[in-house]
Amino acid sequence: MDVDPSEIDKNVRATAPVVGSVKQVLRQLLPLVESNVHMDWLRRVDALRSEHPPMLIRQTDGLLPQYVLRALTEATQGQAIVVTGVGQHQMWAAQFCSFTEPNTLITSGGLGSMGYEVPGALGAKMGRPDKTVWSIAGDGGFQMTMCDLATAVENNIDVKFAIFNNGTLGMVHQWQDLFYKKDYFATVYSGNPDFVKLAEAYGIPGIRVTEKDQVAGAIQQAMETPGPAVIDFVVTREENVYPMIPAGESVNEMMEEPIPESIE
Amino acid sequence: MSPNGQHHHTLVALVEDRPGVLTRIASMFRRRGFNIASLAVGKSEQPGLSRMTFVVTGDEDTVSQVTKQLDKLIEVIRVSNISSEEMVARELALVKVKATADSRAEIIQIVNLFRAGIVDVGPQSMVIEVTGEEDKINALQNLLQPFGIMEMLRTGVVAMVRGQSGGRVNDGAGQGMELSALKTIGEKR
Amino acid sequence: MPVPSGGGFFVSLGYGDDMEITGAEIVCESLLKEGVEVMFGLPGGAVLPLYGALSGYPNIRHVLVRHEQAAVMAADGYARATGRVGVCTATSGPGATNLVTGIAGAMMDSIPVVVITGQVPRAAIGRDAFQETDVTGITLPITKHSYLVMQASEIAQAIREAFHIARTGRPGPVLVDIPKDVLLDERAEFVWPEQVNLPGYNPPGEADPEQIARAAELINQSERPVIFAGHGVLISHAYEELAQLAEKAQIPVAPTLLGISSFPTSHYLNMGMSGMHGWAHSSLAIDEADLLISLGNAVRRPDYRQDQGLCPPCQDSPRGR
Repeated sequence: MDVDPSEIDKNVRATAPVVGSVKQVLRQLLPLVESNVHMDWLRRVDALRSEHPPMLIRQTDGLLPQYVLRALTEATQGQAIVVTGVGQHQMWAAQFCSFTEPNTLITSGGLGSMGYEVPGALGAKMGRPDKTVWSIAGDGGFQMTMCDLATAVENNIDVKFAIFNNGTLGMVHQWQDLFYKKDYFATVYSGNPDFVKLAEAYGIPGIRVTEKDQVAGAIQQAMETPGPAVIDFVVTREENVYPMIPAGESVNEMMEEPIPESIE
Repeated sequence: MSPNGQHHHTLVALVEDRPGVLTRIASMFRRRGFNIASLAVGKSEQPGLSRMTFVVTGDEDTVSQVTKQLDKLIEVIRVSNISSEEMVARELALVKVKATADSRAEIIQIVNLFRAGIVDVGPQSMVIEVTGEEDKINALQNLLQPFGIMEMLRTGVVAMVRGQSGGRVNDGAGQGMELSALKTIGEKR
Repeated sequence: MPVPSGGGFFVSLGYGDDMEITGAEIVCESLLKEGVEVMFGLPGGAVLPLYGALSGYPNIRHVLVRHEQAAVMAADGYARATGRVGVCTATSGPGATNLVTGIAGAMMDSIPVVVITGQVPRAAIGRDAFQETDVTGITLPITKHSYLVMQASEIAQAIREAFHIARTGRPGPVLVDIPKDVLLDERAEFVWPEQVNLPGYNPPGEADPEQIARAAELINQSERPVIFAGHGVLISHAYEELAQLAEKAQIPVAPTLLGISSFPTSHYLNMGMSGMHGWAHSSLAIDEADLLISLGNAVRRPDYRQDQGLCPPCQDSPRGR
């Protein structure tokens, strides 16, 4: 069902195409849909979920990005607008953040442009001043558009920036790890600035977090600070996003992490 | 029709006659990797509107996408795939062929056979004008080839559905985009 | 400020015909008519006349950015968060080319954005003038539509149409390019068109009842359905209707990346995102499903192969970064 007729059958052939806006289509469709329970099917989905449990975060000394995102979503009770960049942190945000309202995950999906997280968040906050807005940034993407911290300061746009700083172009690094014989060519950022000092240079409070027990406090502190704030989460570098279905492969080729022995 | 389902489709589009419209259409074809076998553009019966005839090569899915993507362009008012309809399709060609005193009579005979016309005669050449379906022009071209074709220019096909159906915007075609898009989808099943 | 159209005798006070305002003022008046409260931009030579006028319109808040990419991405973020049209502006040449990535992103994700760019004066167009680029040409494949406005009297119409096209049907970015002299030197009466006249643009209204019936039949017959909830659910504000469908027929929901916030994460029928980095059970359920109900979802994975079963072709991190 799509409002754009050209989307129908473009990449996958539809058995039953319906052209119209989703709302219009659903309004027409709902009276014709019979109530159902799909008991066996929902049981099957539950079984799949127990065999492949989502949302697990393994216990480790290092600071995992998943851990930070879960803390963040707990602190905001899933009510914040989350604006992400593109890459590993984006996928983790999609996996570990929870959402309770429409239009609260804002991300560059089709084009996948790194750097969206800074200006995208500024725009979201301008449009929804009533909402807490978190910019979930990678250290790569953040450096593409961080000049617009000045815009946040100038206009007092109250966006909280969480940099997931693993010192790499994480997703490319992951692909090199899995598909390019661990040849980490051109994905390690050894010249990153000190993001805390950078924030301070713009007159924004900056907080560095390197340990798990600092996470909740830093998030709280940022949320209590009026105006923009930056948290530099120095996260584990060698962390891949799983599950992963390699590009062009079917679900049979899905890579998963083993279920951890102990979880956070 | 070739073995892989590739064949010619004739699409007729009514478009706004404005600067940049052709670019937009050509850009869409290029960007989506569609091939135009021929394209003819000219004024329509309605002021401010042009009619374009496309001949597109491809399988059913490709042509369906071309039609839908054309429909999406704001300046394209209506597109129809008339390939399966009873239609009149014509192309005009000008052929400059070598003509000596010896060969001239034979060429004139061929031209007459095809109900073509001679529009220019020089000491060593003639220009022949022929109108007809693509096959007819191809056939004439083949027959003239041995004399030596110096230059040839073909306009590309223009096509129109036979009978009553009109192409005016207000002929129940206010929802042209929807209708034709849905039709394209329906046709494939 | 300016006076709406209408007859009547007018006494000139020697300042010229006050019924007429500059092209730049027409742009501002048009933005007010569209209810624009905020725009993002960065000035430069060709667009400076617009900025000259903007300072007289305090109801349009201008947010000055440091790079034009931020202007268009902020307009995009504004549009995504509010469902309203985001507006940004930039100057000709480098200002315009710096917008390209953001415009392409808005196009790919169907985001309503109106981009207003200054262009070199009409007489200089096509002469490789200083800071000239053919921005309508450059953005042809990454805009839903675009305008190069060559008369001040055509500005209001173009902006009216631009907003209409940007927000209706499948939304997308629309660019309005206006030469400097059209903004600065030309004066025209401000006439806000009450209607748009776009005979070639007819976004679908009611869906075809036959198509709906066929879809309902398949849903009612299905034993293992999955709803593949895409961005279209959010764009068309079908949040409630999606929940109703899922609950009425007890159908598990797998949102795409852009559709994640179309269904509450904690809902018992929400399996979470599927696809390249989606949750395993969600992808596996899609693989076992006998019916995928795709709602406003550009089934996009270019490397998706239908012969491999119903592997979720969802919108995920496509560039691998």
